[in-house]
Amino acid sequence: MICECCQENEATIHLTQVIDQNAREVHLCAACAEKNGLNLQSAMSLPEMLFDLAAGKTGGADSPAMPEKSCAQCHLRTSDFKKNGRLGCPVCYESFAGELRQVLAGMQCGPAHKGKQPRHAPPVPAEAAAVPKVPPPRRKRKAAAAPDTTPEASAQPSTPAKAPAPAVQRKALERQLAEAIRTENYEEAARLRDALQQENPGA
Amino acid sequence: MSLARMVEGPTAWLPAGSDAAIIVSSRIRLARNLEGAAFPGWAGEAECARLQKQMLSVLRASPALGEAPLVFDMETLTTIERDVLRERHLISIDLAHKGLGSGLVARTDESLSVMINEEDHLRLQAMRPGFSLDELWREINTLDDQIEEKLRYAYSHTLGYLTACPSNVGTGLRASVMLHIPALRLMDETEPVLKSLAAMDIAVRGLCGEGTDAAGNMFQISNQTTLGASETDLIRRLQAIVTEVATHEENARQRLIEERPARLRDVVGRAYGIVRHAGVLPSNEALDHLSALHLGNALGILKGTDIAVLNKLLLWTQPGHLQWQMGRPVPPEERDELRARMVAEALRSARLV
Ligand SMILES: [Zn+2]
Ligand SMILES: [Zn+2]
Repeated sequence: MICECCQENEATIHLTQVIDQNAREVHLCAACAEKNGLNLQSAMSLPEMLFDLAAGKTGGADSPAMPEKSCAQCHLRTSDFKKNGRLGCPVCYESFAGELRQVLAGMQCGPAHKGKQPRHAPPVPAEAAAVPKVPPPRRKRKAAAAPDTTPEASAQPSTPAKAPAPAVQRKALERQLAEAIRTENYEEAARLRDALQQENPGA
Repeated sequence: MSLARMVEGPTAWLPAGSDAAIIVSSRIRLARNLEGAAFPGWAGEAECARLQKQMLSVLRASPALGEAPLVFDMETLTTIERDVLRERHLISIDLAHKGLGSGLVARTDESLSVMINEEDHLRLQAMRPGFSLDELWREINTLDDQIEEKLRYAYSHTLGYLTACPSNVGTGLRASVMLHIPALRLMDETEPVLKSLAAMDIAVRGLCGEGTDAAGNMFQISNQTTLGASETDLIRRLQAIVTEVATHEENARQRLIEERPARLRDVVGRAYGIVRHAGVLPSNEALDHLSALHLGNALGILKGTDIAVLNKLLLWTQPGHLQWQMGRPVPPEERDELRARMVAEALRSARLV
């Protein structure tokens, strides 16, 4: 297989990199890998960063490791997702719902789907249809969410009336963080991550 | 129909006609997964192979893909065949590196295709030359409807279509437009124009690599987010931005003629000189020179050739197509020599005016 950068040499180096917020394999020859050396070394995955944030990890060497969780359906672990930026199965979206809320807030423009529905989709249950206005039932999520999920974080997508200012502020910071990582501005990303943690009283 | 027949025809991402378009081509891709199955990257090859069979039987029977679609199994493709499919934008680099349990189904005209077990179980793709996102959405939506009659997609009411990477969840839609913007580069305006896009949820990638030094001045502009807006909203937003960038390029071409005629002549003239006389022509260098000649032809400086010839060279000088034509693997140094000869030959009657 040919190097995707110079299109000339055989690709010998295969890496997972996050480009434009998409985790993908990068296949480069030795020369191009060296040319891009700095970028590759500091390549940090957006899901990893946001996941750490959701778990309240401060990023320092002395911070406690985040609790390892796994999906009941496919057994993918938190560390697997952090490593390659991809989930194991559709049920992972429920298994890691708490952490993913943060990941999605950082990389997407809204919390809820507004597009096409498959015809086989079962009729929308009453409480799910009301998501934008009424907080969804907590029982299921509590079991799945990280132990240190703060009330603010769980309320964020559902109750704009309760705490609009911090939520908006958080959202802005998260978008800036996503942008900083996308443009590989890691100093700025680290600063924004710290600022976000300040915002998050539970962490 | 075989791969050989298909390769002889035009690719769906480059205009075959003689229209010197700034907007080269449009593409829409939908990410879809099967309910109750692990995503391809986590499922293991055996499970992928089982799912592939199931998906293949449905895809073969989808009218939108035509009566006898081309079906490829990644396991049995040679390296050159993989490169050819990749250069025709039918498969991604990730799929090109996969084997057992993954594949491709494509309409014979390449306008509609499905990658099987790439990062997601199904990656539907529609592409066409020119600016045609509305038509592409209609086509891909029809194919999606046909598949959905037979297979149950992984779908959630709140998060939409569930995908292996959270960056695709929701609509699973990535619409992208390829633009050729050489005049912006010559007017030193590429960077400000492209930078302004990053703030608008729009991703910009070069044909090869990142940033403003993209080979051949080809840039792909696409929507960044997939959750929180409808398919038609995402497409409408992209259309507005693409139109704006194309207008910038159009203006830059006018000003280039009026304000920097010497620079324009120099760039086109150098490219002409090199492609006519070089003995060794690396891939990325060829792309840059072909871009300059494209511009020269569009602005009336280069005669005796046309856009169709230049676009054909753009495809056939790429490593996979070049080796396909030779019918054997060719080492890089020899490729550069063959490429130089091929381009010089094709542009023998071209002349500067
Ligand atoms: Zn290389
Ligand atoms: Zn799972």
